[in-house]
Parts: sequence; structure tokens; C-alpha cells
Amino acid sequence: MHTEELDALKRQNQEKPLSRRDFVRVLSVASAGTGLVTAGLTGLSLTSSQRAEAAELIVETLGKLPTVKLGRLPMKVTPLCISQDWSRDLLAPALDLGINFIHKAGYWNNVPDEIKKLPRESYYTDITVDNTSPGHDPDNYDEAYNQVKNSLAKNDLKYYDIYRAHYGWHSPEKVKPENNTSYKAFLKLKKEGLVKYFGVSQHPYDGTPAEVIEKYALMTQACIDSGIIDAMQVWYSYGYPKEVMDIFAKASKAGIGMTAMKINAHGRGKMGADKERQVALKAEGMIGRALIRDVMTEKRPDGKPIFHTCVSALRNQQTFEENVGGVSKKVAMRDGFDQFQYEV
Amino acid sequence: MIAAWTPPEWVYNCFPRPELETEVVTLDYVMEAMQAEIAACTEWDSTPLGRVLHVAHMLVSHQGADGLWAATFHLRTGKDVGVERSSAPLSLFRRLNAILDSTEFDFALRRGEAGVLSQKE
Repeated sequence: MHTEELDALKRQNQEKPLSRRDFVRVLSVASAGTGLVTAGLTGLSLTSSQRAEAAELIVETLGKLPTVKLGRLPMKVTPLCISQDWSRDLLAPALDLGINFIHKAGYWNNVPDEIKKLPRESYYTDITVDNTSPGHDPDNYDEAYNQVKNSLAKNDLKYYDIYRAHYGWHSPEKVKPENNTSYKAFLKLKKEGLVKYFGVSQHPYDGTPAEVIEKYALMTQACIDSGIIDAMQVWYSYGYPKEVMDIFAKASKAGIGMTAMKINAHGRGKMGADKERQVALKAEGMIGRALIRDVMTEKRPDGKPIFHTCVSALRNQQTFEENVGGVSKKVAMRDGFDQFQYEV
Repeated sequence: MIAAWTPPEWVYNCFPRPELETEVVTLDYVMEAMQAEIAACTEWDSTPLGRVLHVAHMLVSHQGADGLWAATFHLRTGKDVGVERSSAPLSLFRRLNAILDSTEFDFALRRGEAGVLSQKE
């Protein structure tokens, strides 16, 4: 199909949906290039079934995702997680690709049908527990315990794999097991079979950039020293200072399962301006893909990756294809990108 | 309505700005901008919702002990400007909970609603 023909179809599509024949022709053009399928569909207004068909093609293009061990935990997770606040139409393709870790599942009132029908053991979840969030009382045992209990009563997920203290603690003393109310609530919930592992979604604190790094280092070290933290989710993106990377490398080396978040929100501008880095990551013009590859190939001093998985806010098919492609083996091979280590 | 978004190193990072040089905004402006972002979402593309969620998460972090927020604030430093308090984010939180079938903002809503009540008293 020639460009002129495609343009004519796009113009025609302003008036009415593409016919089956035309849609198939457009799809075959979209999948023939080495770029994104969704890029070939830009400017077209597709019906629900056409979108579903495009999603199937995207899944085929990306291939099944690999899994990696989440630090010392007996969990093999995909290098990218589903987030509870993703667009619902992305869940089916994500599950088809094998994505098996759902972040913030504890906030769901009702689990979406795509997930409800799966055996509970076939995927992992976490709950971000809010008694450590701003405005809450980190010593409120009942709030922590009841959030987990009440959410499971609503969404029927049976259990969460990871209990994450949301935002994290504000002093090293509060992380220590003897002072840690979240940990006490976790132990009770674990005994009841409602959670399995203890973790934190550590947010940085307000302050100058130097103060933020200093506090992040202090609290990450406290988490390592406590010996009770199995998993950490942290803000990390392209352009963050090396000092921050060094802190997370230490946590990763200590066997803590590491998840990176805020990858797109915080790195987009810098990566967008750095064409050279995009080229090095074999993702020229695909900022989401470049950001994911950058974060997921950050190395510890021993050469192993710092992060085992990451969270990215995905809200349409194009960002889905671009971002998920960042951790796809099939796409990496096609792009000649050989920096992933799948066996950690 | 949104001329730019604040840089990642600012206290209120990735927040909307009505003009390129703006550093002080009202919460009413931010809320209006966020409601417009939600309105820009389509069934198949909810990209603006991601930006709204980020702003909402930041606002949860900055909810005051009284359950309310500074009506005007400095985006770069995070400092309150003036003494007026506002409950403007509550309607946004309700809308986000409904859109995502979520309980994420329940606690902030309870605190905010209590704050509004005690302000009336």
C-alpha cells in the first residue's frame, strides 16, 4: 500500500469506519515496518473490534515477556508490572504477554474480569498500605491491619504477595522491627495467610536535591539494615544523580526485590532531549522505550541489574506497545539491543 | 489553560502552569486544569489521566493537618502563599475514585470532609 493510498483511507475514515478489507491492508502495512504497529494506525478512528485485533497484533509483535527473580524472593516476575490505574483495555493484551505482577491491586473495589477469571496463583499483587502515608499515623496498627483485611473482603483477591508501606518511614528508628507498627501488622496478616512478603514504596522527601538524596540514602540503608524489607519500590528515572543509583544498587545487592517507578513522569523531558542516548538504547524517537531500557539496564558494581521490574503509567495502545517493547526479548533481538540480563 | 508543566526537581513537580514563567498558582487553577485534562480523555486514550493522578498523589502528600490545602502556593518551593485554606481537591479525588473504581483517595477524602466541617463550625 502506498502512502497516498493510506492517506486516502485516513481521510475516508473521518467519515466512516474502515471496511474489513481496508483495515486488514492497513494492519499489514503497520506490521511490516520495524517501528510500532500503533504508529501505522495513527490518525485512524478504529472500532472496538479493530482495536482488539490491533492489540492481538501488538502482542504477537512483542512476544511473551521473560520473567526475573524478584531479589531473594521466590517470585519470578515480568520486568514490567500492570498498575491498578492502567486503562482497562490494556489488561487483556498485558496478560496475553505474560505480565504477572499487579501494583496497587489493593486499591481495587472490584477486580477486573480479565484478572478475576485467572487462577489466583498465576499472578502476583501488592497492596500499598497507607498508615505510613502523609497525614496518617504510622503507629496506627488498626489502620494498617484493617486496610488489608477490608480491601480483601471487597475485591476477593484472597491475599496479597507484597505488603508495601506506602511512602515509607521518616526515620531509621521507625524502620527497626521493634518500632515498626507496619511490620507488626504485617506479621499478624501473614499469620492469617493474607500477605506474604514485607516491602515499602519509598517516596523521597521534600527538600533541596542534596537533602532529598541524603534522606533517600539514610532510609534505604535503614531498610537494608533492618533485615525485614523484602521488596522496595522507588522513584528512579533517567537523569537521576549517580548517588541515587548507588543507594539502590546497595539495596539490590542486599537481595531486596527492586521496582522502579516514576520512570516516564520524571525522565521524559531529559530523555526526549538526548537523541544520542535514545540511539544507544536502540529506541530513537521512542522515549518510553528508551526510558524503560535505560532503567532496566542500570547495573550494580557487580554487573548485575539494579532493578528487577518497573511500573509505567500506560494509558493507550501506543504507549503500551512502546513501553512494553522496552522489556521484550523479541523486540530487543529485532532492534539489536543486547544489554538485558534476564537471569539475575 | 496549561502553558507548561513544572520540572521534576520542583517540590510540586509535573504540575500545570498557566504561563511559562509562573511559579505561584491557586489551587482553583490547578483543579480547573485537571478537570479539563480528564475531559480530554477518550475511551481509548486516557493519557491525560496519568498527569492528573500524579498531581492528585502530590496533593495527598501536601494535605494539611486540618485536612485542607493552601489556596495559593509556590510550585518550586512548596511554600504556602497567604493563609487562605481550600478543599478544592476533594471533588477531583471523588471523580478519580469513581473513574478507577478505587479506594485510593478514601482517606484523604475523609480528612478533607472533616476539615470542611470544622471550618464551618
